[in-house]
Amino acid sequence: MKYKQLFFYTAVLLIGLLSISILKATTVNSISTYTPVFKVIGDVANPLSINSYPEAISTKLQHKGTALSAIPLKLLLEDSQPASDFYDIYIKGSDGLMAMVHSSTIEESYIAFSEENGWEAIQLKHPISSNIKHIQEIIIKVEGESWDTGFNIISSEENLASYSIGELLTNGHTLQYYSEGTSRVADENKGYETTVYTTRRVLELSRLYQHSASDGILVIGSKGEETFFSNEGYLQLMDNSITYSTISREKRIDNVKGLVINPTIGRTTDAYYDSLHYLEQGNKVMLLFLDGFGYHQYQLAKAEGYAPFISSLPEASKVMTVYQPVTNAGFAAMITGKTPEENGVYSRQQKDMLMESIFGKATALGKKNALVEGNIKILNTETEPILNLDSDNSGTTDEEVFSSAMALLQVDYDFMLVHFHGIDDRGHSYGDTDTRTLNQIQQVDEYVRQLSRLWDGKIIIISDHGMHETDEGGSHGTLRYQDMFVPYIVYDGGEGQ
Amino acid sequence: MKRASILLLIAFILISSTACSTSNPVKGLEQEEIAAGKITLVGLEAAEVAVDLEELMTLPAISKEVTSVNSSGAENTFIIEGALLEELLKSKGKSQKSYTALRLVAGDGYSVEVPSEILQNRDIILGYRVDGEPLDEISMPIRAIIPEERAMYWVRNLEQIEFTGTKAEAAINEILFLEEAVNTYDSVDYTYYESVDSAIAGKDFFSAEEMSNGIIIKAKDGLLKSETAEVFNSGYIKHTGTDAPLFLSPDLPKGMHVKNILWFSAGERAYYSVASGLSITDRATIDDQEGIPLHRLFEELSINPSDSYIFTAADGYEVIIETADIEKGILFISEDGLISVKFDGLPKNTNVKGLFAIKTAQQ
Repeated sequence: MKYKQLFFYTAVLLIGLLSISILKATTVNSISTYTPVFKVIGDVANPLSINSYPEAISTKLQHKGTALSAIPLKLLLEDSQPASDFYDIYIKGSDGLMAMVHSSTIEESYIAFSEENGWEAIQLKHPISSNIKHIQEIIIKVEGESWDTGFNIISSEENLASYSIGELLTNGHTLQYYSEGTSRVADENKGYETTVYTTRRVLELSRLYQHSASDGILVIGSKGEETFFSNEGYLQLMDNSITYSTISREKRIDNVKGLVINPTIGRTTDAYYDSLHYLEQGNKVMLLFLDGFGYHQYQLAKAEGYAPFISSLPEASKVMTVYQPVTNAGFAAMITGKTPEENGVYSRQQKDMLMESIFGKATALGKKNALVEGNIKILNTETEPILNLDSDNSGTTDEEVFSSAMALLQVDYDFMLVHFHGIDDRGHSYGDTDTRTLNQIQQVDEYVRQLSRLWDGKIIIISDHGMHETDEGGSHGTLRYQDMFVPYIVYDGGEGQ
Repeated sequence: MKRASILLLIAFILISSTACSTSNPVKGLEQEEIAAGKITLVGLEAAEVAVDLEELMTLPAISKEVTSVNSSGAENTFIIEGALLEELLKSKGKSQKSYTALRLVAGDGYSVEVPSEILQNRDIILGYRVDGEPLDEISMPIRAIIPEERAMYWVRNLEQIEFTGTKAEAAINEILFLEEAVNTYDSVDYTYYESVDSAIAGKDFFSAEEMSNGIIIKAKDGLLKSETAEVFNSGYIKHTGTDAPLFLSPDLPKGMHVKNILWFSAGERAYYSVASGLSITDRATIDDQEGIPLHRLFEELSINPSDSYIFTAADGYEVIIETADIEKGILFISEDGLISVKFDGLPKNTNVKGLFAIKTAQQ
């Protein structure tokens, strides 16, 4: 009886353990099937890596007499958030074959998966050659110009070229192999080494613009990062962006916005160093900040007689502002002497600088200082701004800022920064070279003249960014020469002016 | 009743066996296991150095979300917790940046060489927890992680780190005093704001070989800047007037200028401004003369250790000072404007006026 019981319990135990083993084996097998991945890349905000049917958007269809589960191409691509509603779709197979269809013709286009064909395009309305098998990637290339969102190449004189990421992915790069390192496994007798390489899509400068070996090429990142293109540097095309790296790994900029060829030596950051120098030498300094006043507007206003006073001053230097050419970033650069990478202000979203500004320095030097602003506080400066509302409803605060600054001239300030917003306001509304914008330049020119006559010290005229023309008027914030280059003038104020 | 108890026992065994086979085998790492897990550092010192987990855990812990990319491109994201190799080396008076390469060696014979580019620019984490849990059996005791590098460098079951070579770091063997040295170079007029000052071209100070690893410039305010030979050669050292000594160039943005230089060096040579040094260094006094203690100068420039040092005047006069006597010396500018040095308790002939250079005696 005892043996029978022992046999029974042992059997129960073995059956239990066997069941667990089978259960485990079944579980492993059920997930062991390999499904390849394909990507949706190019001019999209959200690159996709697809290795399964998103249940929510899959649908049933009949193809060549077979019932299939498939993803409508249109829904899939919407998920990748293309940069425009109109775009070319390049469907590329693992054998290199690529078919292009347009976004306006994909109402009956699908992507299905089968063991035989992998990820496969099934386009019921298109010629059969569009049905690419074993899809590796789908590249989106938007139509039209890409100056607002693409990879731009500019000089201080002109906009040289602009490319969308989709354009570069479909035609404009070379594949290169980079060693990632060598690993080794050794046994008692022998070592076995493997060197691993990655294939990278690399942009060749010679294919991007006609360049000379002596060009100084400044690489600009989306957060205002800057570095000169070095001998060991390269631009790598990623899924929806470009990365600059050096072989030595010392420098890397993700999301490169473009290149500036032979940038000016002068920068808007010079305003900080010049102001500090003159303050340390016992001079008074007034910084006249003409918002949205590009160098090309300065030239036009001079040529057409809209800036009689500024024209009478020494010729302005052309200086480059920082990326992104918007007020917060440009303003922070001019009062800290540093680029956004260092001062932390690279877009309209940041108000706090990571370092002391000229206001803090001036205070530390015992210099009485003031910041005369429009109706909003742009940055959290050490000195609180004196705000001025548009009380006469003229559409700009310039008159109020001017009156406020004139009143402050009665107080013995060592350093004043006066921020005129009107040229920027008119530029946005009417365009950078519109007569109404030029009229505002003329108005500000007169304010500058009057302030200059009453300021017994150094005066610096500067801007945070320029302006380019759009269908609606004007805009800035892109890597265009009109946005990036501004005038810079240093002169003596006083009765002589 | 008895049968029910036995069935319960079987059920317990089954549940236990299931639990054991699906949970982390090292969950709840025992103290002995912590103590047993160790890595060996080879080539760091004359003898091998063993480091156990307990020692690693006393170093500042770092926790970082990392994503590995394997050879097929698949990504895996997790949080690694561990200590930086650099912290471990710091505790032993070393730095990973000093080595030309190192090799991470796993217990199963796998190894990968980590080249200088990575050592100079990346953190190496010696990880002992993943997602808050101790490492799994195949990763114990340490998993090396190099964020931003591929998974081939993320070595599990790390047993050994071999340091395969030190970088030939140029230590300073010669200090030239800028105030005297400028008299030996051609100066040019340089317009700086409203004044015209004197400046010496950057390319005059060092040979191309000396500048092969760039130039380091330190300002009085502590700013330390590295420049390439190309940039330095394009500029000037302005040695008179406002903000001097000042590195500047008409071809460089003002943000790249360096005001009030304390010293600049390339290769084994440094130029030091005594005027700048006097304005920021605590002074010592010998016979009513205040000056910069020489040992502070040597510390500032990390001059190479030597049995003795040669002090040379602009007129060629030389004295040799034993290392033990360096701390008795001060550096100052005499009433007639000459860089001078004198020593407490040493013969008067060790005093040097118009001091041009100090060199290590073993060059």
